Amino acid sequence: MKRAPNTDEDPTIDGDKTKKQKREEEEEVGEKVNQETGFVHLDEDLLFEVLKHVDARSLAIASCVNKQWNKTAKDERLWEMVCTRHWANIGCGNQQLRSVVLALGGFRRLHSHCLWPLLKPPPSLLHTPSPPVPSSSSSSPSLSSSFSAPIIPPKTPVHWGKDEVQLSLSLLSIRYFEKMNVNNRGR
Amino acid sequence: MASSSSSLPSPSSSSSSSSSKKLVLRSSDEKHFEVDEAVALQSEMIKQMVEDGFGGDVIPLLNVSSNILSKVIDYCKKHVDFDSKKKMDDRRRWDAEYIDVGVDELYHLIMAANYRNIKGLLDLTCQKVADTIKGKKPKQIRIIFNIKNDVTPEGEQKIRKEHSWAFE
Repeated sequence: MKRAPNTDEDPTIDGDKTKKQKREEEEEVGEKVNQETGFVHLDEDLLFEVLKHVDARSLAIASCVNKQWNKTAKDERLWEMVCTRHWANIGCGNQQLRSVVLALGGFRRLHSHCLWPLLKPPPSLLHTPSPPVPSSSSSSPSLSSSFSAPIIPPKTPVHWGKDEVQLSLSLLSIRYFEKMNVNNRGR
Repeated sequence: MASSSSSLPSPSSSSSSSSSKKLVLRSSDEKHFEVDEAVALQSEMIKQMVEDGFGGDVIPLLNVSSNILSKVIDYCKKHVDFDSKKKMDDRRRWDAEYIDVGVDELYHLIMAANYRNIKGLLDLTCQKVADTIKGKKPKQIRIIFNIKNDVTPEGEQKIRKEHSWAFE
């Protein structure tokens, strides 16, 4: 900031310069304030509140926004809300469901592997009639597809009944145990 | 107390609560707002303060500026009205118009609703943000809310892969 005085007018010049610089700095700060729409400062609790209101796809997209959003959007409680929103009747207590799903990999996994393939719009369902179960295990895939094929309704169900919930939980557990087998075989 | 900048008309609440107690709220920029107790008690925080015996004094709201506070009071007044009438359609229409604000104001309303603990307003504001996010790509969300992406390209690739179904 400080410059060596060159002329005898320097006090005013210097003053002008610092003023100008100051103004420029102020303008910069002003611009920053204008641009910063506060949401940068939204803490995790409030972001959580916001994400309680979004649908599954938005929640997945939100996790790609930045680190803080990613961390918050991974919260299993949010994915539990996403999953159970579709379920009219779970067939068991919430607490019981939670402990089972969390033990098998969580609600986020349950949604992306078992619910989303069934909830997808019909056109894409035609391409993949059974939920993707990428495994070489012989019995389980045929089991799951034979179960899921007749159950898939022509239109996306708004509320699922007990059967659908149990089917998706079964699929989740099949995936879980298949992975376990593959890992054991590898060793 | 004289500088009540909230010259908001209170259309029908006067009939039910003209004789009721008034509370005075002070915004961060030292403006005073006199409101019916029923209106102020929409805020759980103020309810707690009144229960703790602070009701007689001016209630300072350090984090809320006068223009946001008057907007919040607007909401509370209207919802005291709505609660007595139970007209869901009217309420929904009014809420939709009320929350049609810019991103900056929306942020301050969220903060105020959270700080003053007004459940209805917090739900309304958060729902508005959720509606804004819906159908957008991560990049668009960052632009709307001016959020900096602090994830490395590799990291983002990985996150996207985890949620590839959402990008289909």
